[in-house]
Amino acid sequence: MDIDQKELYVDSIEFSYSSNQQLLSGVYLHIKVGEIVGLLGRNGSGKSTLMKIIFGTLRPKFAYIRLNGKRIHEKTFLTNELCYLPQQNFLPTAKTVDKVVHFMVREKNSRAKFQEDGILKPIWQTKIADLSGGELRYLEILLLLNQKATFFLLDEPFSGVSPVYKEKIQNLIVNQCAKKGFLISDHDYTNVLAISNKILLLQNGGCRILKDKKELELFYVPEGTFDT
Amino acid sequence: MYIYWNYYKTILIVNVSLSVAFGVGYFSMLPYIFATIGFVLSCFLVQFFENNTMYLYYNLGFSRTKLLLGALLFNSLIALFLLAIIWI
Repeated sequence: MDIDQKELYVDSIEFSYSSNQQLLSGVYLHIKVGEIVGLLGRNGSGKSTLMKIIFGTLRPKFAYIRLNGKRIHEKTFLTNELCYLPQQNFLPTAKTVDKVVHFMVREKNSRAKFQEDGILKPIWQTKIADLSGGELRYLEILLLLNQKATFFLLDEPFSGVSPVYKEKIQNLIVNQCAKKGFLISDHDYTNVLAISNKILLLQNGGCRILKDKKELELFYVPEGTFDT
Repeated sequence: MYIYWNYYKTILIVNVSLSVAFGVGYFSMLPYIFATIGFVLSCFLVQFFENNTMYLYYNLGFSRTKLLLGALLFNSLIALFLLAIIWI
Protein backbone atom coordinates (compact mmCIF):
# COMPACT_ATOMS: atom_id res chain seq x y z
CA MET A 1 0.00 0.00 0.00
CA ASP A 2 1.25 3.48 -0.92
CA ILE A 3 2.15 5.60 2.05
CA ASP A 4 -0.29 8.37 1.08
CA GLN A 5 -3.17 5.89 1.01
CA LYS A 6 -2.65 4.84 4.61
CA GLU A 7 -5.33 5.99 7.03
CA LEU A 8 -6.60 5.52 10.54
CA TYR A 9 -10.37 5.54 10.78
CA VAL A 10 -12.12 5.41 14.10
CA ASP A 11 -15.88 5.40 14.53
CA SER A 12 -18.65 4.78 17.06
CA ILE A 13 -16.44 4.54 20.11
CA GLU A 14 -18.49 3.88 23.21
CA PHE A 15 -16.85 3.93 26.60
CA SER A 16 -17.74 4.52 30.23
CA TYR A 17 -15.81 4.09 33.46
CA SER A 18 -18.99 3.80 35.51
CA SER A 19 -22.29 2.30 34.46
CA ASN A 20 -24.31 5.51 34.84
CA GLN A 21 -22.05 7.98 33.01
CA GLN A 22 -20.98 7.61 29.39
CA LEU A 23 -17.55 9.22 28.79
CA LEU A 24 -17.31 8.64 25.03
CA SER A 25 -20.27 8.06 22.79
CA GLY A 26 -20.08 7.73 19.02
CA VAL A 27 -16.63 9.27 18.70
CA TYR A 28 -15.46 9.57 15.11
CA LEU A 29 -12.07 10.58 13.75
CA HIS A 30 -10.09 10.08 10.61
CA ILE A 31 -6.35 10.62 10.18
CA LYS A 32 -4.42 10.38 6.93
CA VAL A 33 -0.68 10.43 6.31
CA GLY A 34 0.50 14.03 6.21
CA GLU A 35 -2.08 15.18 8.74
CA ILE A 36 -1.35 16.54 12.19
CA VAL A 37 -4.63 16.43 14.06
CA GLY A 38 -4.87 18.48 17.23
CA LEU A 39 -7.21 16.92 19.78
CA LEU A 40 -8.37 19.46 22.34
CA GLY A 41 -10.75 19.17 25.22
CA ARG A 42 -11.22 20.04 28.85
CA ASN A 43 -9.85 17.96 31.73
CA GLY A 44 -11.75 14.70 32.00
CA SER A 45 -13.28 14.98 28.53
CA GLY A 46 -11.72 11.63 27.57
CA LYS A 47 -8.75 12.58 25.36
CA SER A 48 -6.30 10.14 26.95
CA THR A 49 -9.00 7.49 27.21
CA LEU A 50 -9.71 7.86 23.50
CA MET A 51 -6.02 7.50 22.65
CA LYS A 52 -5.69 4.39 24.83
CA ILE A 53 -8.74 2.85 23.15
CA ILE A 54 -7.33 3.54 19.68
CA PHE A 55 -3.93 2.18 20.73
CA GLY A 56 -5.54 -0.95 22.14
CA THR A 57 -4.62 -0.79 25.81
CA LEU A 58 -8.11 0.06 27.00
CA ARG A 59 -11.16 -2.00 26.08
CA PRO A 60 -14.22 0.02 25.04
CA LYS A 61 -17.85 -1.09 25.03
CA PHE A 62 -17.73 -0.76 21.27
CA ALA A 63 -15.22 0.56 18.75
CA TYR A 64 -14.88 0.39 15.00
CA ILE A 65 -11.22 0.88 14.14
CA ARG A 66 -9.99 0.54 10.57
CA LEU A 67 -6.29 0.81 9.82
CA ASN A 68 -5.11 1.05 6.20
CA GLY A 69 -8.40 -0.38 4.95
CA LYS A 70 -8.52 -3.35 7.35
CA ARG A 71 -10.79 -3.56 10.35
CA ILE A 72 -8.83 -4.16 13.54
CA HIS A 73 -10.36 -6.67 15.95
CA GLU A 74 -7.26 -7.27 18.07
CA LYS A 75 -5.18 -4.75 20.02
CA THR A 76 -4.17 -2.10 17.48
CA PHE A 77 -0.56 -1.83 18.69
CA LEU A 78 0.08 -5.44 17.65
CA THR A 79 -0.03 -4.28 14.01
CA ASN A 80 3.15 -2.17 14.55
CA GLU A 81 1.41 0.60 12.61
CA LEU A 82 0.62 2.69 15.65
CA CYS A 83 2.75 4.27 18.39
CA TYR A 84 1.52 5.96 21.53
CA LEU A 85 3.23 8.48 23.78
CA PRO A 86 1.54 8.21 27.19
CA GLN A 87 1.21 11.17 29.54
CA GLN A 88 3.60 9.59 32.05
CA ASN A 89 7.18 8.75 31.15
CA PHE A 90 7.48 5.20 29.91
CA LEU A 91 11.24 4.65 29.73
CA PRO A 92 12.86 2.52 32.46
CA THR A 93 14.46 4.97 34.89
CA ALA A 94 17.38 2.73 35.87
CA LYS A 95 18.75 2.49 32.32
CA THR A 96 21.05 4.97 30.59
CA VAL A 97 20.12 6.85 27.41
CA ASP A 98 22.47 4.73 25.25
CA LYS A 99 21.00 1.48 26.65
CA VAL A 100 17.45 2.61 25.92
CA VAL A 101 18.37 3.75 22.40
CA HIS A 102 20.16 0.44 21.80
CA PHE A 103 17.05 -1.40 22.97
CA MET A 104 14.52 0.48 20.88
CA VAL A 105 16.56 1.22 17.77
CA ARG A 106 17.97 -1.91 16.16
CA GLU A 107 19.67 -0.35 13.12
CA LYS A 108 23.26 0.75 13.64
CA ASN A 109 22.99 3.77 11.30
CA SER A 110 19.94 5.10 13.08
CA ARG A 111 21.65 4.65 16.44
CA ALA A 112 24.63 6.66 15.20
CA LYS A 113 22.25 9.50 14.29
CA PHE A 114 20.89 9.43 17.85
CA GLN A 115 24.40 9.66 19.23
CA GLU A 116 25.16 12.67 17.04
CA ASP A 117 21.98 14.49 18.06
CA GLY A 118 22.80 17.84 19.67
CA ILE A 119 20.58 17.24 22.69
CA LEU A 120 21.34 13.55 23.24
CA LYS A 121 25.13 13.73 22.80
CA PRO A 122 25.90 15.37 26.19
CA ILE A 123 23.49 13.05 28.05
CA TRP A 124 24.36 9.83 26.22
CA GLN A 125 25.59 8.01 29.36
CA THR A 126 23.10 9.63 31.75
CA LYS A 127 20.45 7.57 33.50
CA ILE A 128 16.85 8.19 32.42
CA ALA A 129 16.01 9.08 36.05
CA ASP A 130 18.50 11.97 35.92
CA LEU A 131 17.20 13.58 32.73
CA SER A 132 15.23 16.82 32.79
CA GLY A 133 11.56 16.75 31.79
CA GLY A 134 12.32 18.32 28.41
CA GLU A 135 15.21 15.99 27.60
CA LEU A 136 13.14 12.96 28.53
CA ARG A 137 10.12 14.00 26.45
CA TYR A 138 12.39 14.80 23.50
CA LEU A 139 14.07 11.38 23.78
CA GLU A 140 10.74 9.55 24.07
CA ILE A 141 9.32 11.28 21.00
CA LEU A 142 12.51 10.75 19.00
CA LEU A 143 12.49 7.04 19.88
CA LEU A 144 8.86 6.65 18.88
CA LEU A 145 9.31 8.52 15.59
CA ASN A 146 12.11 6.14 14.75
CA GLN A 147 9.73 3.17 14.85
CA LYS A 148 8.29 1.94 11.57
CA ALA A 149 4.71 2.87 12.59
CA THR A 150 2.71 5.23 10.37
CA PHE A 151 0.37 6.77 12.94
CA PHE A 152 1.39 8.40 16.21
CA LEU A 153 -0.81 9.25 19.16
CA LEU A 154 0.94 11.82 21.31
CA ASP A 155 -0.64 12.51 24.68
CA GLU A 156 0.63 15.78 26.13
CA PRO A 157 3.97 15.93 24.30
CA PHE A 158 4.54 19.54 25.45
CA SER A 159 3.61 19.05 29.09
CA GLY A 160 6.35 20.18 31.51
CA VAL A 161 8.67 21.10 28.65
CA SER A 162 10.53 24.42 28.27
CA PRO A 163 9.88 26.61 25.18
CA VAL A 164 13.20 25.61 23.56
CA TYR A 165 12.36 21.92 23.78
CA LYS A 166 8.77 22.58 22.69
CA GLU A 167 10.11 24.09 19.49
CA LYS A 168 12.44 21.13 18.95
CA ILE A 169 9.58 18.68 19.51
CA GLN A 170 7.41 20.63 17.06
CA ASN A 171 10.20 20.45 14.47
CA LEU A 172 10.54 16.69 14.98
CA ILE A 173 6.83 16.21 14.33
CA VAL A 174 6.63 18.57 11.34
CA ASN A 175 9.72 17.01 9.72
CA GLN A 176 8.13 13.54 9.87
CA CYS A 177 4.70 14.70 8.78
CA ALA A 178 5.10 13.83 5.07
CA LYS A 179 5.37 10.10 5.86
CA LYS A 180 3.30 9.85 9.03
CA GLY A 181 0.03 10.89 10.60
CA PHE A 182 -0.32 12.40 14.07
CA LEU A 183 -2.99 12.80 16.70
CA ILE A 184 -1.77 15.26 19.32
CA SER A 185 -3.50 16.14 22.54
CA ASP A 186 -2.21 18.79 24.93
CA HIS A 187 -3.58 21.51 27.17
CA ASP A 188 -0.87 23.77 25.76
CA TYR A 189 -3.16 24.49 22.83
CA THR A 190 -1.01 27.23 21.27
CA ASN A 191 1.76 24.73 20.52
CA VAL A 192 -0.74 22.16 19.23
CA LEU A 193 -2.46 24.71 16.99
CA ALA A 194 0.89 25.96 15.68
CA ILE A 195 1.59 22.64 13.95
CA SER A 196 -1.79 21.00 13.43
CA ASN A 197 -3.65 21.15 10.13
CA LYS A 198 -6.92 19.81 11.56
CA ILE A 199 -8.51 20.61 14.92
CA LEU A 200 -10.83 18.30 16.84
CA LEU A 201 -12.61 19.21 20.02
CA LEU A 202 -13.68 16.42 22.33
CA GLN A 203 -16.78 17.57 24.15
CA ASN A 204 -19.78 15.87 25.74
CA GLY A 205 -18.48 12.47 24.67
CA GLY A 206 -18.17 13.31 20.98
CA CYS A 207 -15.64 14.78 18.56
CA ARG A 208 -16.37 18.07 16.85
CA ILE A 209 -14.29 19.13 13.83
CA LEU A 210 -13.42 22.81 14.01
CA LYS A 211 -12.91 24.78 10.82
CA ASP A 212 -10.49 27.28 12.33
CA LYS A 213 -9.03 28.19 15.69
CA LYS A 214 -11.41 31.14 16.08
CA GLU A 215 -14.17 28.54 16.51
CA LEU A 216 -12.38 27.39 19.68
CA GLU A 217 -13.56 30.59 21.34
CA LEU A 218 -17.11 29.25 21.23
CA PHE A 219 -16.30 26.05 23.12
CA TYR A 220 -12.81 25.91 24.63
CA VAL A 221 -10.94 29.17 25.20
CA PRO A 222 -12.14 32.59 26.44
CA GLU A 223 -13.60 34.91 23.83
CA GLY A 224 -11.05 37.24 22.30
CA THR A 225 -8.12 34.81 22.71
CA PHE A 226 -7.32 34.84 19.01
CA ASP A 227 -8.07 38.51 18.38
CA THR A 228 -5.13 40.21 16.75
CA MET B 1 14.21 -12.89 21.60
CA TYR B 2 16.16 -9.83 22.74
CA ILE B 3 12.95 -8.00 23.70
CA TYR B 4 11.63 -11.02 25.66
CA TRP B 5 14.94 -11.42 27.49
CA ASN B 6 15.05 -7.73 28.33
CA TYR B 7 11.55 -7.92 29.82
CA TYR B 8 12.42 -11.07 31.73
CA LYS B 9 15.61 -9.51 33.21
CA THR B 10 13.49 -7.17 35.35
CA ILE B 11 11.47 -10.12 36.64
CA LEU B 12 14.60 -12.21 37.15
CA ILE B 13 16.25 -9.68 39.48
CA VAL B 14 13.14 -9.55 41.68
CA ASN B 15 12.61 -13.31 41.51
CA VAL B 16 16.21 -14.11 42.58
CA SER B 17 15.90 -11.75 45.56
CA LEU B 18 12.52 -13.20 46.61
CA SER B 19 13.58 -16.83 46.11
CA VAL B 20 16.74 -16.37 48.14
CA ALA B 21 14.75 -14.64 50.90
CA PHE B 22 12.07 -17.36 50.94
CA GLY B 23 14.58 -20.19 50.58
CA VAL B 24 16.89 -19.32 53.49
CA GLY B 25 17.65 -22.62 55.18
CA TYR B 26 15.94 -24.65 52.43
CA PHE B 27 18.56 -24.54 49.70
CA SER B 28 17.20 -27.65 47.92
CA MET B 29 13.79 -25.96 47.61
CA LEU B 30 15.24 -22.94 45.82
CA PRO B 31 14.49 -24.06 42.21
CA TYR B 32 10.88 -24.86 43.14
CA ILE B 33 10.37 -21.49 44.85
CA PHE B 34 12.07 -19.80 41.88
CA ALA B 35 9.79 -21.57 39.40
CA THR B 36 6.52 -21.05 41.27
CA ILE B 37 5.75 -18.48 43.95
CA GLY B 38 8.89 -16.44 43.27
CA PHE B 39 7.97 -16.08 39.60
CA VAL B 40 4.31 -15.27 40.19
CA LEU B 41 5.09 -12.75 42.91
CA SER B 42 7.85 -11.04 40.92
CA CYS B 43 5.59 -10.78 37.84
CA PHE B 44 2.97 -9.14 40.02
CA LEU B 45 5.46 -6.75 41.62
CA VAL B 46 7.02 -5.76 38.29
CA GLN B 47 3.56 -5.22 36.81
CA PHE B 48 2.53 -3.11 39.79
CA PHE B 49 5.60 -0.89 40.06
CA GLU B 50 6.72 -0.76 36.43
CA ASN B 51 3.30 -0.59 34.81
CA ASN B 52 4.06 2.44 32.68
CA THR B 53 7.18 0.88 31.14
CA MET B 54 4.82 -1.61 29.47
CA TYR B 55 4.21 1.11 26.87
CA LEU B 56 7.81 0.62 25.78
CA TYR B 57 6.93 -2.94 24.76
CA TYR B 58 3.50 -2.04 23.39
CA ASN B 59 5.15 0.49 21.09
CA LEU B 60 7.41 -2.28 19.82
CA GLY B 61 4.33 -4.41 19.09
CA PHE B 62 4.49 -6.82 22.04
CA SER B 63 1.50 -7.60 24.24
CA ARG B 64 1.67 -8.31 27.96
CA THR B 65 0.52 -11.90 27.43
CA LYS B 66 3.27 -12.58 24.87
CA LEU B 67 5.91 -11.13 27.19
CA LEU B 68 4.68 -13.09 30.19
CA LEU B 69 4.75 -16.32 28.19
CA GLY B 70 8.31 -15.55 27.11
CA ALA B 71 9.25 -14.82 30.71
CA LEU B 72 7.68 -18.10 31.84
CA LEU B 73 9.78 -19.97 29.29
CA PHE B 74 13.04 -18.32 30.37
CA ASN B 75 12.16 -18.82 34.04
CA SER B 76 11.40 -22.52 33.54
CA LEU B 77 14.71 -23.04 31.76
CA ILE B 78 16.65 -21.36 34.57
CA ALA B 79 14.68 -23.33 37.19
CA LEU B 80 15.53 -26.60 35.39
CA PHE B 81 19.18 -25.57 35.29
CA LEU B 82 19.13 -24.85 39.06
CA LEU B 83 17.43 -28.20 39.65
CA ALA B 84 20.11 -29.98 37.62
CA ILE B 85 22.86 -28.31 39.68
CA ILE B 86 21.24 -29.46 42.92
CA TRP B 87 20.83 -33.03 41.66
CA ILE B 88 24.48 -33.16 40.56
